[in-house]
Amino acid sequence: MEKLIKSLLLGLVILCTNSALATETPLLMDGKKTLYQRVLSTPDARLYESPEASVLLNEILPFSVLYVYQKKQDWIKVGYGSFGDTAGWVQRAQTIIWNQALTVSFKDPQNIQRVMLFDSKDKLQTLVESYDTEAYQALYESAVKGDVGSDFPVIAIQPEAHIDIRQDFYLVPIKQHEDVYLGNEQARLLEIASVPLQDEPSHTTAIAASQKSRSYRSGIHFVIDSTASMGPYINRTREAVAKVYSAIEEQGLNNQVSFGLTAYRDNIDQVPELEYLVRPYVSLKQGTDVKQFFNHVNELSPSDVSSRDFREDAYAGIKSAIEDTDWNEFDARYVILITDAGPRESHDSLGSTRLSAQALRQLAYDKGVSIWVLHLRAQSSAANHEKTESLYKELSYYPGIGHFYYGVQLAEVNEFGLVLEVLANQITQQVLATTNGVPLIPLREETETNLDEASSRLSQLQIRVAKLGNALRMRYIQKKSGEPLPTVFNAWMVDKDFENPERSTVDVRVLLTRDQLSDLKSVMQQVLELAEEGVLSPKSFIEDLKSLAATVSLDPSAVAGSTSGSGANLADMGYMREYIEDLPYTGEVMNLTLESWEAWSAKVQIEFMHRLESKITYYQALHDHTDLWVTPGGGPINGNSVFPVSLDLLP
Amino acid sequence: MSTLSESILIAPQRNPLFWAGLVVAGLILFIFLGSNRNGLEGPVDKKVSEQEQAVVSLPNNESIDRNLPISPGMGARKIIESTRNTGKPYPLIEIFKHAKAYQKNGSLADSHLLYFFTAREGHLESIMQMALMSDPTQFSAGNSLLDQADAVQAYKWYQKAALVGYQPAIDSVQNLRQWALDEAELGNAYARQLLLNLK
Repeated sequence: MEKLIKSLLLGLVILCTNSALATETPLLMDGKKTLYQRVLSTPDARLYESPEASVLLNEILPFSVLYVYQKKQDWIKVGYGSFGDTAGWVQRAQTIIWNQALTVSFKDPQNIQRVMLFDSKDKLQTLVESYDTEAYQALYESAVKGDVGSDFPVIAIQPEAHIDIRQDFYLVPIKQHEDVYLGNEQARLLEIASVPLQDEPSHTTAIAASQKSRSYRSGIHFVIDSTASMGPYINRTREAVAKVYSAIEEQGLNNQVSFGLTAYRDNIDQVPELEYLVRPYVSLKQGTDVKQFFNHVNELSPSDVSSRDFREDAYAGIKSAIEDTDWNEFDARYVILITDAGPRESHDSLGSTRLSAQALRQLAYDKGVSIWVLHLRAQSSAANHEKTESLYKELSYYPGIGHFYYGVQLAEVNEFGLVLEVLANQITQQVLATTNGVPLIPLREETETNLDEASSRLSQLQIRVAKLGNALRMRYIQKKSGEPLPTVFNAWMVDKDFENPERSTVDVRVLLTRDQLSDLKSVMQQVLELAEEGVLSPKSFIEDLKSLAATVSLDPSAVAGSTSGSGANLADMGYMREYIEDLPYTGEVMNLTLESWEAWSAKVQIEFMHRLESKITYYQALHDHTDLWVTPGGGPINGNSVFPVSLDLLP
Repeated sequence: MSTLSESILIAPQRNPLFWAGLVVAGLILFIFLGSNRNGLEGPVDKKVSEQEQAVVSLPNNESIDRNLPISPGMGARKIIESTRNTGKPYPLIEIFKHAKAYQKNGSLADSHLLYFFTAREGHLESIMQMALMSDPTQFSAGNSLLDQADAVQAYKWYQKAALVGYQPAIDSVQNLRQWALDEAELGNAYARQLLLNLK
């Protein structure tokens, strides 16, 4: 019996081992021991079950980071993580090779010129080498105005509004880089890949688009707070929708954009005079027809009595809109909440849903619905604004894009109406763009835009609407009649401000996984501890550093041979990590030689330690802020989650 | 996203010709005005002279023997070595007094090293001294080896003292938080980094 049990256990162990060994791992990069091959998906990329392209599994969020597991002719097998969880096959032509994982984040263009993207390296290089600021300025002015001819060297320009990469993750992959001098400053020419964003289509384009309708449909369901204070905004919403309906008719998209409306109030057990908690007025099906929409919506009026406090049960209205709407007929799905009150969260005994913002967002996400919030901020509830804003931002957060929250001062009925019209029109334009097979989302012309706070916030929200997955769209300015826009384009840029080359216009970043950052922090922490001891008692520091190198290096045998020379730096000694090895940066920690450390005064050693500690503290804080990390393919934060770390912050 | 200390840590790189010009100008200035705040290498000013003459004192003696010229920090290192050789418990109060004496005499490298040593061993006054020497709201170049304040260092040391319930340190952490909030508004990258640590 005992023998039998032992045999069974042995069999089980073998089975487990085999299945563990059978787990696929991604392909390693050439010459690397731990770094896997990675690609980014283009906007037209699709996942298939097999290379024959017979069974379509799914679309891929544009510019998703994918690990390469297998290659077969024109196909590659990919996964969102490196732990063996493959997602399917994708055509190679629908990916961008991205092994170095370098990306660009744009600085706020408020005090700096927007970055111009050139169609060829040569044209940009000539300009940089001659450092012809007048010629550059002339190009810039034309690019901003969009006043360009077919031989204009600039094909796109950075969006006018600023998107903070910490809040709204995006990728602008760097394909190549080259060091140059811009005036007296060292700079880099960068070849990047991006997705085009074009000006509003001409009337003829719109008609052409409508003639080849492909029945792509958008459903926009308004969820309106209909308590006493909301009267003016209900009327303005009607007015805004009427305008958008007119635009839809003009563009021949009558059946392709539909509006619905649900009103909500608050707990009627507490205040029975409110009459209802949730009341659907128009379904998306009815809202395809403008007459039906207004027949129903004209019945909507605000309540005569006030609700109990500054919170109302917005989640009840949203939940009803998500669950009671037949979304199947719609490709793009939006719920737009319009309210002047905070929501009743899961712990609020007067709330009917008992859902948190996160849970409700998940409910929407599961149905492919994105929630937008227009929050009318009343002076009387100012104390609650911060909390309310935070909840609505969480509710309206869409993975890979960011939140869709917009706050308006309560008295600003016109601003509210404008925002509603702009956003609804933008959705309509997306329908038009998709119908036309061309990704074009209009942004307001700069000349129309006063850079006051409201318009700046609106521009930011519009860019989020226009963002495509992880791709930040660049305003595409090169117009060649008859040629469709590319889904992705390559372009060259310089990373310094032409007018003032001491200032950077972008940060060059490397996309590190959380595991890589954790490893980097751990190794640097050990170096710091040795350095602290070395500052106090220098005698054994060098030997201790060599011993540590042998334990942290991925190749201890190579380390043994490389550390004999006193001119060896930390990178040579084995402290370098593969994921930062070939990057275009010069870190003072990795370049530290034993010779220079010994020659330094105590002061210089201490200053070096402080800079190292500052970076380690940053790594730790970054690691702990899980809200900053993005998990490719969605899901909880794990070791494969990524964050773009500035090269300047590498050791 | 110009985040955290991203603009702090790396100086812009310039054309070598620019640097060559700067070196020539620097040499001219050096020849005529020759000065070195810290006396790390080369010719020395009066303050540095004092530093270099500072030597190891005997235990339990606050006076500094100025007979043997040695480089900044060497005196402190000898005290630390001798202390470690004697073994624990270390006379932290005595070493703190030495640090004070070095500071008073302008031997800032020696005082910094001794404060650092005793602070690492948990000596509360030394911890507070390390914090004060880096605190951007208290910083005085005359008392600190560092050329500028370092909010991350200040926070680290205040936090250490605050964790054992030392009220002045708790107050200072709050003060530093307010400083970081105000400065971050103005675009101070050091303050932004500190705020990320504080969140």
